[in-house]
Amino acid sequence: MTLSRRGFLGTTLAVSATLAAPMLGAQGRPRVVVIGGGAGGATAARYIAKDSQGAIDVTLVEPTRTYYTCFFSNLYLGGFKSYDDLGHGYGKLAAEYGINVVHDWAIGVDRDAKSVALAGGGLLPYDRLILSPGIDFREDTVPGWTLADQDAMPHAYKGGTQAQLLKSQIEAMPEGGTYCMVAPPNPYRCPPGPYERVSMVAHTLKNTNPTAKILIVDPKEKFSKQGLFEEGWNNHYGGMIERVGPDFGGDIIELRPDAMEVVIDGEVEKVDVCNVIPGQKAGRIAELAGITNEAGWAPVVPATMQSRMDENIHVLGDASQQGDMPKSGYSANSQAKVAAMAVRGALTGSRVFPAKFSNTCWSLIETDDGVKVGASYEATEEKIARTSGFISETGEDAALRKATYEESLGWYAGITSDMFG
Amino acid sequence: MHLLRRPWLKMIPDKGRDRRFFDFLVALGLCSLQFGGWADAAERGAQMLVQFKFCQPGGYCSETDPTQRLDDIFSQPKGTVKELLYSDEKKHRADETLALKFETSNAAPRVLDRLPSYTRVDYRASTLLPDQAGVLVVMQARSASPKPLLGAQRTASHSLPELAPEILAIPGDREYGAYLSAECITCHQADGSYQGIPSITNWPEEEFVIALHSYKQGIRPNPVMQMIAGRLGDEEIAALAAYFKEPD
Repeated sequence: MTLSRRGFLGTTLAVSATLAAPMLGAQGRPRVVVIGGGAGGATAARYIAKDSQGAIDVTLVEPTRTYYTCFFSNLYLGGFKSYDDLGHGYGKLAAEYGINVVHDWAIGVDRDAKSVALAGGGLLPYDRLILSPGIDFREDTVPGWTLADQDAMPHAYKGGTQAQLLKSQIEAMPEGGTYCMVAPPNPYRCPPGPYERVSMVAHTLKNTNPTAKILIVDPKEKFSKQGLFEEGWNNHYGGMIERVGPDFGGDIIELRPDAMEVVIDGEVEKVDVCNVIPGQKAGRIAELAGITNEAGWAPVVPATMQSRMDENIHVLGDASQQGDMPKSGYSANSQAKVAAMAVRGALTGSRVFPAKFSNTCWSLIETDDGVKVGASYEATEEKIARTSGFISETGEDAALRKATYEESLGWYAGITSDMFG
Repeated sequence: MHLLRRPWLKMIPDKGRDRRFFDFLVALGLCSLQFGGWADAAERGAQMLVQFKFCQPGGYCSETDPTQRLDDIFSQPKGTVKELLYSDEKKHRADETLALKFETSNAAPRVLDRLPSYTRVDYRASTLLPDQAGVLVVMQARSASPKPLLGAQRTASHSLPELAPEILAIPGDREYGAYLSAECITCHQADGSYQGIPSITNWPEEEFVIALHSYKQGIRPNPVMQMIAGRLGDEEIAALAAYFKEPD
């Protein structure tokens, strides 16, 4: 990722303003730095600023000026949302909540000095640090594919321009061509996400390229909402979608990005679009901070989301290893509120209540055919533990599926205003 | 037939796209005779009410009559029926006659999609059925002389939770409610606007408590809400009700 000159200048100004702030009377206020302006970080920053009513100095570090949500990017691929629909700015967090929003990359954490180094050269001291960097990709899970191949074979799994690239590739597929998805191994962001994506791609192709094929190459034996998706694919897209699981070599693959070939257990498949969703790990800054484990995730204390390796750092969302919650925007938002309460309690002595977590993931299979899965969780010593849950049933009637889809639209409106004010 | 004092009042333009569905604005004037005769409209409206009184998405049907909530509201000054939510509460002029505002932007009869089980009548203005005149006529008549509509009996035992009076009497810890509310606000928007998920702000406390216990006891059907309410204790429900009565 490169910084443009313009972005760099803007960043420098923002950082200067931030660093100058303590000189202007903010001295003595406890400082919270939040890295990552997504569902975890933006929510945490907003809740700490809102609920502490100015008692805590909150800085949010996020490279992008407009954040394009990864959640609902599948609906963009299906044509149900425009790209602009997914974009959100940080203006309200700065103007209405008094958060110092710094558009820059965090490139290091000095845990002894308790400061964050920025690519633009600034240094942000903190009393508590909240890391919510999302995911990065492991390059060892898909032989033949590296990040350098993401233009030829996009992941489109972090929102943003990759989603645009994938959409344009799908639209440019030849008649009767093949879209291939290389599905990720567990654990990964948004468990139903790849399969909702397949549904949305099928929806698009059904209308524009009905003889096209969809091939899912999957290292997993089973996947989230499998019964619901397979029922829906059968009902809506009969014959278009084929899935190769590990029983047929879905876990023994090699990619050849230059030739647009997928080799499945020795058999070469020529494809027109190859959407590679690799194995994942915590966003790089968590690794740089030295709080990740061998699996690449940051283990946390469930009741507060504090890193198990540094009590002054809280880790939210996809990057954390917390137990039973799926990696999702909803989960990150839920965890952010628990962490915000814990941080406020620690820094200002405000009341602390028991941690409560919940998650729901909605997926769209075809127009007005929405399904959902969700659960609630509690903090135990060992992990965030699932207490109860639900899932849509196969065979539900159309009106309920439509209501479920509309509920997902309501959730999107709700969570984005919860994040960005 | 009870007539409104000012049935000719003009429409007030929408101020926001997410206007709350209970949009009591001065607009009953449009309930005119454009749909045909008064009596025909009343008959069609009555049929519509029977439908959207009992059913909601997915074919879940309730025996509770949500129009009960509309008893006596017509011709009351705005803001005076305490069980009801009013939009733009602070902007009301007390002398304005209550009326319902319906829009005709969407002609499809989608009321069935929009009625949650036993909450308030969920008249999302833009999705109301085309035969709004008839519905208004019936509701208006009903408001003037409340009685079970078209012979339907309100069988509360099937649709209200079993709640000891002590539970309803628990004083809510508002600060705790504020913390707990964060979980709700992920989906139900803090400013009360509605997009596929109903508003939960500014509810009367008791109604809020009853609603959550209804989910907790599995009487209301939405599985997300059954899950969320299922692990809330009585004190927590009271705390949430105290908060959402007057959220920040």
